[in-house]
Parts: sequence; C-alpha cells; structure tokens
Amino acid sequence: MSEAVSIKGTRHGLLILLDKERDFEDIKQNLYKKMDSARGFFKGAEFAFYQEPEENEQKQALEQICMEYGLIHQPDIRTKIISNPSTTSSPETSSVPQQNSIAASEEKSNQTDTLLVKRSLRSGQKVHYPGHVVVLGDIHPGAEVVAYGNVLVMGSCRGVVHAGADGNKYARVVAHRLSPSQLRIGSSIACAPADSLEGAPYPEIAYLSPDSQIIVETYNSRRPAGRSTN
Amino acid sequence: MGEVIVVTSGKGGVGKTTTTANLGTGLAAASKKVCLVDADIGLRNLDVVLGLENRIVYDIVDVTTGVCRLRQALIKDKRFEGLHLLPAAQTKDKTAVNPEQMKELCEELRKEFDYVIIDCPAGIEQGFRNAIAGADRAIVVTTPEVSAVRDADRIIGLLEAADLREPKLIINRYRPKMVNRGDMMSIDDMNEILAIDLLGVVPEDEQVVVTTNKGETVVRDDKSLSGQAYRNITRRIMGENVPLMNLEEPSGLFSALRKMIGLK
Repeated sequence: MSEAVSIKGTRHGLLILLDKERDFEDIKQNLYKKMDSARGFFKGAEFAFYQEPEENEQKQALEQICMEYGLIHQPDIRTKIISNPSTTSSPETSSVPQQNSIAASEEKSNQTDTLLVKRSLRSGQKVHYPGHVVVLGDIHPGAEVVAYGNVLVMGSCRGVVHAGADGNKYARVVAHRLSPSQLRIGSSIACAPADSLEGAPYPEIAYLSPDSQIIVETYNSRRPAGRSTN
Repeated sequence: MGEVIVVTSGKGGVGKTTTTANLGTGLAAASKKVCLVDADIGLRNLDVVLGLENRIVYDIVDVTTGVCRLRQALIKDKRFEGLHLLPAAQTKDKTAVNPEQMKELCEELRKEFDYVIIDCPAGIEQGFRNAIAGADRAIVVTTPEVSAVRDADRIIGLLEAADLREPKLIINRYRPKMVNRGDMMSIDDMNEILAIDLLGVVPEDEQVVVTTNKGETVVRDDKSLSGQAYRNITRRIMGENVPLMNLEEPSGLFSALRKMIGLK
C-alpha cells in the first residue's frame, strides 16, 4: 500500500504527493512523520504540492506543517515540473547534473524519453530512437545505435553509435568500455584508428568540444558531463 | 520425440557440412538414430562428404512436393546403423521449399529419429530461414577469422530473433600455434565477442581433408585430435558434461597440438 504522503526531490524543489484516497487526518499525521524523520534535512527547501487539497482549510494546514519545518512554499515549482515530462516521470533522476546540459538545449526538441535495451545488440541489429538510449548489454561490431539524445552503454560498445542524431551538439556517449568502430555526435564523426587495439579498460565518455571535435576521456563521476562547459 | 538441431554459420566455408557429417556419424556411432538433412538446395554436398552420392534417388524437394514418400528419400548409411541422410535437390534452388514445409518435415522426422541435424546453407536468405524453421536448437560454426566471427554474430542475432534461444558455438580450424604467436583470434577473444556457450573447439587438421575426400568422417579416427574434438562435442550434445580439452588442461592441449603441428 502506498503511503499517504510521498516527497520527491526534483531539480526545481520538493514535490509533495498526497494520496487523495486517504483521510485528511491520515495525510496530516504522515506529513508530520515525514518531516520529523527528515530531521531538518528539508530546511530552506522550496516545495509545492503535486495536487493541492481542494479545501482551502486543509491546504493551509498542510502548508503550515511544512513551514514549521523550515520549508518555503513555492507553488511555481509545480508548473515548472509538470511542463517538463522528465521530472514528473522520474523526479529522482533530475538532480543528476548531466541532465542540466540537456535541459539547456532541450527546449527545441523533446528528447527526454529513454529507451531501455535489455540485451546485447549483435551485428546487423539497429536501434533508432528519438530520445536517450540505455543499453544493458554490449553493442557488438556491426550493430548500430542512433539516438536523438544521449547513449549510455552498460557494457562494451564496439559498433556504430550516433548520439544527438537530430543535431544536438550536447549529446554524450558513455560506455563501460568505449571502443566503437565509428562514433557520431550531432553532425561530427570520428572513426576508430585503423590500428586500433582494444579501447581503454575503464569507462569513458565522449562529447563535442565547442569547435565540434569529438573528445573521448575517462568517465569521472565527479565530472559526469565531461570536461567541457557545454 | 527426437531433437532437431540446425548447424549454421552465416559465412561459407567454415565447416558446416563437415561438422554436420561428423556429429551425425558420432551420434550414430553412439547408437542413436540420426537423420541428416541437407538444406543447401542447389549446392548439395553433404551426400558427397558422407560418400552416399551414388545412392540418391529422391531428394528433399521430391518429399515436400509429394513426388515420393519421406521413407523413400532417406538414404541409410551402411557403415553406421541408425545414420540416415535426406539429400538436397541439385537442380532446384532455395525457393523450391518454404519454411512451413520444412517445419512439417522436421515434425515428421523427429517422430522416428533421436536426432535430426540440418545442414544450413551459407547466407541469411530463404535457405537459412528454411533450415532454421523446424529447429529446436542451433549450433553456430565459426573459424577464428574476423569475417567468420562477424557473420556468426549476425547469425546469432537472427537466431535469437527467430526464438532459437541460446545457440551453441563450435570454433573450427583453430590453430593454437598461431594464437600463441598472436596471429590468430583466441578462444577468449571469440567468446568475448560472441558471448554464447562454447560447445567445442576443433583444431585445424589435415586429417579432416583426407577423410572427407574419401567420403569418411574424422570422428571415427581415433588418433587425430580433431576426431577427439568431434567425439567430445558429440557427447556434449547427448547431454554429457565433458570438459573442454583446452579448458581442462590448457598447457597439455597446447603442447600436444604443438607437437602434432610440429610433426607436419
């Protein structure tokens, strides 16, 4: 059974979801409990209700509770979040900094949907998707992934990968082992060197430099979007 | 009810027919009832490899078009009790049979035989689709060459798409000496790329050519290493747990192979 109150952290602030099926008293108690167990963690955070209680009295009561714990009511968050599908579908991931770079460029195309490929792609198999692509497996030589957004490979990537295929210069390719036969980001293309041995034995990230060169570097979780500023 | 196994590779010339003939002979030698089906219509050669060419009267197309009954087309090998061949047609092409007919044929054959082994033609077109239509499991043959491995990878993808899950791999014409020199892909390299279970590794061996040209199979040759490899694969197909020669004692195998190649 779901809880009467659940709190989601998003890029814009805290989103508080209320289970309308529940008794108001239930919701109120649950909210108290949540705030108590957070031990002041939410203090200073902006918050909004996903769906505000219809009765003004109830709404004020809940807002009051939140404010007691140092939260700041900011109803604008809700409209921001709801207009941005990525945050409503998975609010937890939106705080991942890598998304910020996309957010900056995504107004022009809605590329926030993600395709999860739960197998390896073998030679001759192709995935084309107008969003991000995550592959739980390997991309074998001769296989191809074309995505409008980012490509993340939780295995070795030896085929052809094209991120930002609709011209997105801010797309990235991250792979557990990145040694593609050809790598494309936006409209830039890089080929593996002819005498290429195996790639680096650690995860790598590829992105475009401001002058549209494809840069490949060690993936560093403290700098998840690579060294560039874009 | 018997089991239908397709032997395929994508690329030509890697040893599908040789493998089919050897596995069939090996299984028959282990007292199984085996039927080998040559699905390479228009380019038949399994009969030649088995030395049964002269006895062909009817072929697979005659069966599917109702010219003859299935029993009439089956050629019984006189050397091995239980080994039968359904030859391909030589004057037709791959479109003479469709996947539905192959499925029916396999259903018919599996009632009578313990193992039905289908020799698939090279390529990924209709001949391939015919060959895999009635199969329960698949064996992919490859050689340690990038082109053969690439094609094998493509074939594995197509097999999985056709719901033939977990195909098994046979690496053919393996030359440990070249692998040690770094001039040939190793078993590990291929395992890493193809990522399917290994059924066996058959070393390069002149004896394969010698026996094939005589219409015999190397699996009956007790002295050759390739024969031993095929016997091991046969036992694995029957469900026995035979350790891979190389995985069990890598140094032993390598030195044995080196010795063998050194003698040549």
